[in-house]
Amino acid sequence: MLKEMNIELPILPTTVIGSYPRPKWLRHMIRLYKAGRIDEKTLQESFDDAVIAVVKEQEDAGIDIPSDGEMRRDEMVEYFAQRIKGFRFYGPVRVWGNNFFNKPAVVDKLVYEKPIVIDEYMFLRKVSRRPVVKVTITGPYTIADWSFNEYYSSKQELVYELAKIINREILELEKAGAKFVQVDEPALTTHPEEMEWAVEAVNEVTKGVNIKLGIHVCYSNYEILSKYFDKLNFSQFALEFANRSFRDLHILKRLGDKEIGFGVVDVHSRRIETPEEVAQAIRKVMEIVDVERIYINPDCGLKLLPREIAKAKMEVMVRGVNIIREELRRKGVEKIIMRR
Amino acid sequence: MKIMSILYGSMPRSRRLARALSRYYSQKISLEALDEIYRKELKRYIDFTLTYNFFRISDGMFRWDDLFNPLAEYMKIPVNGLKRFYDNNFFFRQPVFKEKIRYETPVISEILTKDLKLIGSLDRINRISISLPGPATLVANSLIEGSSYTSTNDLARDYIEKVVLKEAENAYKQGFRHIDLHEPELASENVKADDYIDLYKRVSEYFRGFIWIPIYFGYNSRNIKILAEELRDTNIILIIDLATKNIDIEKLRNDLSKTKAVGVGLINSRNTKMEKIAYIREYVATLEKTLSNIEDLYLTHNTNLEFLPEKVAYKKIRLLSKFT
Repeated sequence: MLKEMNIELPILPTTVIGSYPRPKWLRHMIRLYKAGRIDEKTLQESFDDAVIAVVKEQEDAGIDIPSDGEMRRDEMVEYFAQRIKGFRFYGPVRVWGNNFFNKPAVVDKLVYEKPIVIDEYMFLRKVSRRPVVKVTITGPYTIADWSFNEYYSSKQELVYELAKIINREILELEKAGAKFVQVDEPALTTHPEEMEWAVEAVNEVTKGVNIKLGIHVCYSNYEILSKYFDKLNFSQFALEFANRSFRDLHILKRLGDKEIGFGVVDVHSRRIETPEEVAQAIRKVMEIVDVERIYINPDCGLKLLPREIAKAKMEVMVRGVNIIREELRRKGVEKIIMRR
Repeated sequence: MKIMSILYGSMPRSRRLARALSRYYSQKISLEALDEIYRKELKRYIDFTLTYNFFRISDGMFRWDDLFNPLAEYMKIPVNGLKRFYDNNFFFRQPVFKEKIRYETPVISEILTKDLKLIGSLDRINRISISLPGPATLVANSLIEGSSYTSTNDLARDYIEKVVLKEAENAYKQGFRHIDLHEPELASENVKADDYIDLYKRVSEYFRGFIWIPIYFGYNSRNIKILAEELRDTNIILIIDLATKNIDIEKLRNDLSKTKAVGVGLINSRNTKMEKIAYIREYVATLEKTLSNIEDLYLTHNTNLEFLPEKVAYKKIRLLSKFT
């Protein structure tokens, strides 16, 4: 049974997966920094200002659980690899279309030198007006799968080493007061033959943790993932469904008493969904999952969209949710208690 | 046994090309300006690789976003959301066959011929391949909707007839002597190569040069064996992935016992760790001893080099060139 956390949220809490488009001026400041024309302090101030701006944008759109938009992160694996000793970068590789990431290579024993995202969390907590904020951390399996391994004798050994590091980071976040951490594991189902040990390794990050832990898995084989819903020690699965036109919803029958973070807007399409489309999708998922166990989010991080489209998608998402909330309000259902 | 080195598939896009594409998508440069960059990229790649005397290379597939795009657009087929390309952190737009393929002109070979002409490399056309998805891989990674096709076999056949044969015919006429039909699907356990043998033979009838079938992201012994046997008297050569998994040399001998030529992917395109020359030499020596029936052995990488950062990809090409 999931334990209640003494925090009240509106029914169908709305959240984001994590990333959000960087403001144009921030991109400019980063370019200036790279060219040596502004100093580190000015860059950090720009990041802080950008977080203030995008948190406000999320809250204005009606998001109940905002993130800091991952303003300080160029990329989800790269950011952690830059802060864990033992990685090296050879250059970018393409991920899809004309989108690249700086794929790291593990060239030495990995060492957790100091906290990675605590400062991010502390700043987000300070600027958000919401009772709960979300902190995202890339999971050990995905960091390993999206890196070249030149050092460890096996991928399994590498994942376990990373899991220890991520676990330390989550424990630090808990100590700092974080209430909701989402571990991003988009690669988790990529190698079905590795799932058994991968699930065990990913569970290592949850050891001794007493806050809400979600896991985000996207663009993946959910048939495979759903077989491990009960084995993964996370209370919430944030999954992408709009991109797949809400096919595969049947896998949610295997959720047990866990929650779904239901992806209702497609982050790889610039078409802005209508509130009615969002509401319709929620009605569909409510046929399978109890409404108390549904959170609403975009499919994935919004960062690759133009900022105005990302904002419009969040607004539409919240308007769609509000249609259903109104229907539920008439039935006397308005709040949930957050569970860990 | 004659030993040669070859390159195939997609290469990493340079920063220059990536930047040009971004600028094109945000309407800051024209299509003509983008084409110019594509051609510079192609020229750089061809000049570099052919200096090393590779038996054959590909065009680097710089114009391709993934194995199915822009081909889907040329076939007048819409694409779906993003889908993971096998077990990689690489995603493609999935073709959705709501209607039958309409492929009026052999666009792929036409564009490449034009590019080669404009960069003054037409004289090398016979060492450069045309790249296309193989039928097994196309159908496995597409969706069939409505009454467009009654089965995956129906789609595979239509794809071969309307696209591959048209491209093969035109390619040969233009001077190409190599066609690659990428078939990563045949490395998976989900598919039987038997279903596609007639289709490969059909392409073979149309194209008198070399037809290469790169099978990567693993090794399916059953499929390799049956293809090696059934296609032994054709101009079709399999390229197999020997870097993803350790393949027992006896198994390899058994699977390839009927074929006279094979491409072996020894260089790992999915890891930055550089292979040792001594290791390659030793492996090749073992292959020479074990695969006594093989007359032509082509050394290569195990999958597209674009899974590597550009500078590592070029380093691995230089490594492979030591065996040309």
